[in-house]
Amino acid sequence: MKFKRIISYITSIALLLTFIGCSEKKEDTKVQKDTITVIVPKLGGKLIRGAILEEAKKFEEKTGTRIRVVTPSWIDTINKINESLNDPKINFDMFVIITSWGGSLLGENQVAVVPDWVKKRIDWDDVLPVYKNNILTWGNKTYALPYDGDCINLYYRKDVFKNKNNQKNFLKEFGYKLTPPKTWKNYEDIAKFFNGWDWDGDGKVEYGIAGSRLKGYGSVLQFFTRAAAYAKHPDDKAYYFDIDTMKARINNEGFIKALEDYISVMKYGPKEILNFSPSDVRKSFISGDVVMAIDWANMGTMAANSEISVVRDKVGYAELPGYDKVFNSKTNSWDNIYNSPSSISGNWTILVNKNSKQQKLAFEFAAHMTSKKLTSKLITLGWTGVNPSRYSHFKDLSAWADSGFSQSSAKEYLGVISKSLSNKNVMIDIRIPGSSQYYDTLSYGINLALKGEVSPSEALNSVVIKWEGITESLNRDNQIRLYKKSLNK
Amino acid sequence: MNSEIKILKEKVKSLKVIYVEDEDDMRMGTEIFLNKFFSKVEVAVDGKDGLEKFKNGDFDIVFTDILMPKMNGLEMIAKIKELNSEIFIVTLTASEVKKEEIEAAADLYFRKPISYNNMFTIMNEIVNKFKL
Amino acid sequence: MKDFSIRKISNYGFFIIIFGSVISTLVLIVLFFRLENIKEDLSVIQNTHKSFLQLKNNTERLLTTSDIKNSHYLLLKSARKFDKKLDNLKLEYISEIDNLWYVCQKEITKIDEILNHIIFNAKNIKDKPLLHRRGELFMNNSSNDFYILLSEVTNSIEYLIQNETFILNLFNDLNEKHKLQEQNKLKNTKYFVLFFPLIILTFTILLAIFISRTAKKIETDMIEKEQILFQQSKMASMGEMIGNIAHQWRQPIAIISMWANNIIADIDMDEVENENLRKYAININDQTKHLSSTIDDFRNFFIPNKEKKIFEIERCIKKTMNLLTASFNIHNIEVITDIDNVEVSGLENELTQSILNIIKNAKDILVMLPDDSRRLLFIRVYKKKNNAIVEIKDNGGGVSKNIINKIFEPYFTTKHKSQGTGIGLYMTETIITKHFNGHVVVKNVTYNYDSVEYRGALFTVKIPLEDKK
Repeated sequence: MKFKRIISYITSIALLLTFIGCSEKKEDTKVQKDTITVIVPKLGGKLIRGAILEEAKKFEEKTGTRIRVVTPSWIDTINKINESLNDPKINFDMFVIITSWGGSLLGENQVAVVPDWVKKRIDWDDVLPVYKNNILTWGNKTYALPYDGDCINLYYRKDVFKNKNNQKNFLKEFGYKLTPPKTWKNYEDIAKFFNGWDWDGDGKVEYGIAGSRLKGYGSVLQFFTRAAAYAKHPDDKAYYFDIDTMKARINNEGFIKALEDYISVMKYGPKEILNFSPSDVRKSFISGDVVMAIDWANMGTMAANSEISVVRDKVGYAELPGYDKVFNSKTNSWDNIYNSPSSISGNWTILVNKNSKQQKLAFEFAAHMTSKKLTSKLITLGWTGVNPSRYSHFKDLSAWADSGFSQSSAKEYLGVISKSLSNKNVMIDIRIPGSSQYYDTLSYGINLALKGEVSPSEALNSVVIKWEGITESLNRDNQIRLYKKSLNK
Repeated sequence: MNSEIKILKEKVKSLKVIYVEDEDDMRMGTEIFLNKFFSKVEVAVDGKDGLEKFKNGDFDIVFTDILMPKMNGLEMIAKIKELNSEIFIVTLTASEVKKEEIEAAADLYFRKPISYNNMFTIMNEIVNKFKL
Repeated sequence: MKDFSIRKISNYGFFIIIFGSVISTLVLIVLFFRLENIKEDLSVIQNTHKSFLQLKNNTERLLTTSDIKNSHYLLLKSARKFDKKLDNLKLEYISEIDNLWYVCQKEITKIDEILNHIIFNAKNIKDKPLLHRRGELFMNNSSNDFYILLSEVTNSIEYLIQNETFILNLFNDLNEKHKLQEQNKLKNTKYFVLFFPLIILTFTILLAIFISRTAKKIETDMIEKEQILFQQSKMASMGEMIGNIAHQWRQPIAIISMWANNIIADIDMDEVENENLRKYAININDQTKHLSSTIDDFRNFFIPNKEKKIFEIERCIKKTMNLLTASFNIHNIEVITDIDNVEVSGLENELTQSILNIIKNAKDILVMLPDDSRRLLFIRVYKKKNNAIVEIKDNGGGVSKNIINKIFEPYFTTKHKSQGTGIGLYMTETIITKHFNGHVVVKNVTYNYDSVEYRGALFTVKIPLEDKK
């Protein structure tokens, strides 16, 4: 019996091995990693996409997944997003986009709602309400994660302002004290005062202001930022269109006046100002060529840690100038109240494709990029282009020191930003389908006016006609519905 | 016993006997014994011989063995009885073969070895049979 | 286990070995073909990979070389080539590559369109690489249509390169994976090539050990059985012999009895004569001699010989006849002998036993013949070509065809249990074949004797004689 048993054991082992050998490797396909594709546009330097690329590599190594990052040009990004809506074979799992580009995705219901675990993971309560209420939600649901917070503020040479002589002379010329401008009128006065002479003693002529005027998003958004003081009524969430009719407002008196002033102040800047992009504005300010500029928070960090900056610790920060009256489109007349809205324009948020086959992985990476820890680090580094979006970003002053901010500067800088972000009246970008078309036509129209080829009102009128056309082509009723959603109404 | 034997001898003396036995030594010893009792004892060496001698003589008693060559005892007895149905047959045999047949054919059936008492019985039977 | 015949075991074993060999051969063949397939796949992948590398190179060159027309052409050509190769690739990765390739193809189409634009053909674009030219124009703050198209195409090419890099990574992964697979399969094959033969070898060894052990066991069993059979046979013989003794003694005893009767009769009749008494007594003694010699005969028969010696076969015949004469006489069996002087070497009593069994067998047949027919037994002993031949023939009618082959088997008997054990002839065969190196056969014969035709069985014992040097 023993022998029989031994024989049967050996036989069965042999047969087993045979089958193992034959059945073979159904398991070895673990070389196929989980993969997501991230789209983020290519901006100047390493802005916005730089940190994504770096973190993607680290993330890949840590989790054994594949994070493919494509970085098309600005225009190509818009086109590719549209393509992905129409071509089923073009898909992106994660979008890193400015607010307005989200419009078409959200309008086509292509975005995944942010799940609770992600909110928990990134300390949702730490994110500033101004973003949560205006940028990250749509139709009162959360769809976007805060990567670059940002708002536009005023940066000025506080050392130059403090100069006793300048103070004396300004008071003499304009009849009021030289302080950071409260209105755009003050802004122009100060620009005029400091334009065309060497007020820093370096032997070169300096100018009043630098501002983004080059045809493109930078300029358009900064125009709308300025126009907000004139036309973004504190009691009205809608800004660009009538909320019930989608009738474009941008050719109302407020906007026209804003454009006029926007053009007028140009004469107090360098002669190349017509071609200035926001990066040029930054360069100009931090190399000490101008006394004031408005910019996103990038200006602050660049001034502090860029190699070409000569203005470290000389920068003063202030909220945007306002206007002493605001146009009420409901009454079609000016309201004589001081209006000083904040501009949270041009933020970069992260959206996850609703139809992504790797939604969880996409959210994992998105959560990583928008985490409290990572963003706290990124906001101190100018090259990332990432700016504060959280309460905690304003608390820890030590991190800023690493990037060249002195504690007092950091405090001031963050103080101003923080104040801006707690403003109840905010201007946000267009977040509906066709936003790029709206912006493009406006950009084109404004550019004509800047060059003097048409008058501001002519320019804006023709833009409005085009805008109505765009709205019609996208189905006005749909646009109305979506515009409401974008305002969380 | 003594005197009885003498009396028996006297009675049977005159009977004529034929003794058939193929085994020499057996025949010799038994012949001598029979001669003590009978005055005429003829011997034969097998069934055929016995039948022949019977035909040529006139006998009262046949003493015979059964297992013999040429013609066995039973056959011989049958043939003798055809000639003389009154003949007195005593069978002396070594084996038990065909016991019932032999008992049917013979008047007396004894198995060898025959004891002295057996012989005594035989003589008595003869006396009775022949009413001597 | 005990009942396993060697034949069954070997059959089992051979079956398993053959089965195992077939399976392992099949497995090796399958593995071999798989390896071939993998090699093939790998070469297809490598080919496709190569053509893709070419495409990527051409894409990059499009940005960096001055001969844009040529690199444009090359890009399209290598794209087409790669596309074709990709069609032939059928693997798990194909869908991922497909999707990326779709994106690439769209970009290539776009690049192609732009490069075909009139502006590109008009300008002398042969003299500067695209990237250079773009850089230049950017520095000059150009914003004309050419610059826009140039930006578009260079951006597109850069985007294409990004996606090509993704595809390249997939190819690298594929290569890795397949290399791993091939290594694994090689390892497996090595294992099998090593392992299976080892298993079969182990198995064969185990089987051999097993067979030899069982064989020994069976042999021991058989020897035991044989010994038991011998014993039984002897017992049976003894039983018969005792019967024979009893039979043979019966007559002398009867004769002694009769002489004793004579003595008693003389005494009773008062006719005692010393001469006669003496005669009677001597006769008794003669008979006792017969009794004694019978005992001696039987005793001698049953003493086993310890040593082989040379003896005449005639002695065996004589002894046998001594034992059986009485019986033969009773049954009217005629024995006709023709015995030459033949000597053999061996154990005398065993040969006697063997011949006895044959003759007893003949006797048993002959006594069944009707009383009026002759019962004949012929015994012939002679020498032929260095063999001693013993022929024992009867006229019992022969052995029926359906049992003649079984007649030497142990326990085979046509008689009732009480009359025969069936061991006798088996013993005869065993003794003749094993101890005398001879053989014994039986066949039916028809012959004439005394002008009468008879039919019966003829047993022939052939014993090789030793070379007399």
